[in-house]
This record gives sequence, C-alpha cells and structure tokens, in this order.
Amino acid sequence: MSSRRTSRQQSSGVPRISDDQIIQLVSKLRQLLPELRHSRRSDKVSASKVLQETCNYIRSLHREVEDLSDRLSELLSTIDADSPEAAIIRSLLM
Amino acid sequence: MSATTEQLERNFTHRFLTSLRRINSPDSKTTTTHAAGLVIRRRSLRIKRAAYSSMARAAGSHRAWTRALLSRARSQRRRQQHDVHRRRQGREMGRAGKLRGLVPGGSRMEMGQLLEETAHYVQCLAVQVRVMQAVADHFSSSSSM
Repeated sequence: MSSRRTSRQQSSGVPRISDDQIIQLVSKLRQLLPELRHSRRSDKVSASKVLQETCNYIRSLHREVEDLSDRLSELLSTIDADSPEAAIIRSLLM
Repeated sequence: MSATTEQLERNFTHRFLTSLRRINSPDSKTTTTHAAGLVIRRRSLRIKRAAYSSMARAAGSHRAWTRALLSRARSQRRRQQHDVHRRRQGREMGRAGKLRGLVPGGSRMEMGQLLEETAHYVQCLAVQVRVMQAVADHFSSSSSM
C-alpha cells in the first residue's frame, strides 16, 4: 500500500480518510441530489461530477431561501403573523 | 419522511414562525410610505437570517456546520455586516474548494467530514425551503380570502 502524502498540510492532524470511505460518502451525497438520484446505480458518476452537482444544488437552495424571504417579507405586511400560527403548524404537519 | 426529518421539520417550523412573529411585531420606527420598499427589503434580510438560524438551532449543535453558521451570525450581528457568504481568502482550499465555500465551516474540514457535513446540510436546507414555501403559500392564501 503506498502511503499518500498530501501536498498541503492538514490543519487538524486528523488521520487522512481512506479512499473507500470517500467513495461511500460521495455515493451517499449522490442519493440526495435531484439531478443524479434517478440514474442507475451502475452508472459511474465521477466524484467530481457529484461535487459539482452538489454545489449547483446548494446554490439553488440558497437562491430559493433568498426569494422566499423576499416573498415572506412582502406577505408579512399584509397579514398578521400572530393569529394563523396554530393553523399553519397543523396544516404543515398533516 | 423519516421520523427524524419530521421532528426536524416541526422544530424548525416552530422556531421560524416564532421569529416571524417577532419580526412582524410593530416597530418603533413606523413606516412612512416612501420608506416602505426599504422596510420590506430590510425585513427580508431579517427573515432570511432567522430562517438559517432557526434551522441551525433545530438541527443541533453536534454538527460543525450549525456551530459555524451560528457563530458567524453572532459575529455579524456585532459588526453589522450583510454579506452572509464571505469567502475565506488565503486559507488553503484543498480539494472541493467551491463546496468548502458553500458549506458553513467547510474551509476548516478535512474531506471526510466535509462530505458528511455537506450531506446533512443539504438535507436540512431542503427542509428549510420546503417549510418556507408552505408558510408563504399559506400566507398568500390567507390574504386573498
């Protein structure tokens, strides 16, 4: 087994994770991504593709939070956020 | 939906709605018509921060990203900064540099931890968006009655 030396210093001194563990974690991540989730398991999707799709997905989620915050801000000026809370919680948990 | 996701959703929803109520309570700086747009913009920022903080609290402090997000929020409140996704310049980015910039605390993690934290962060973000969407839909249907 070759010892892999990192070209950069690990800041925490934690032992470097094995390649197998990385493969496992990357496939776990892949399951969460709407773009890649439905491809056949036998399809080889490269780790860098998974990372790229993850970045795209996170960015799109951040944008949605931004847009929804704008929308909620406009809506709050039209309603009283106090009263419907109980109804909201009920309907969200159905 | 798994039991833990359901619990997370409930926890987040409660905290987020509590924040919305606080944000919406009458302000001492009352709005004049010409400042309405600014009020809406400023409130949007508060709502956004409340959403991320509520999710970080709901998700729990055993995750590095939640601790990083909340400590960033605390230091932002002190310094009145608006930029939420400030990049760390000069730190070694290593592999997955873009991802490290997107996940709170990501620049400090080694690869295995980064991937684990990312998976959890993505799941929580999806819940956060789903709940915010449901709340917005509910408010729009209420106001159109």
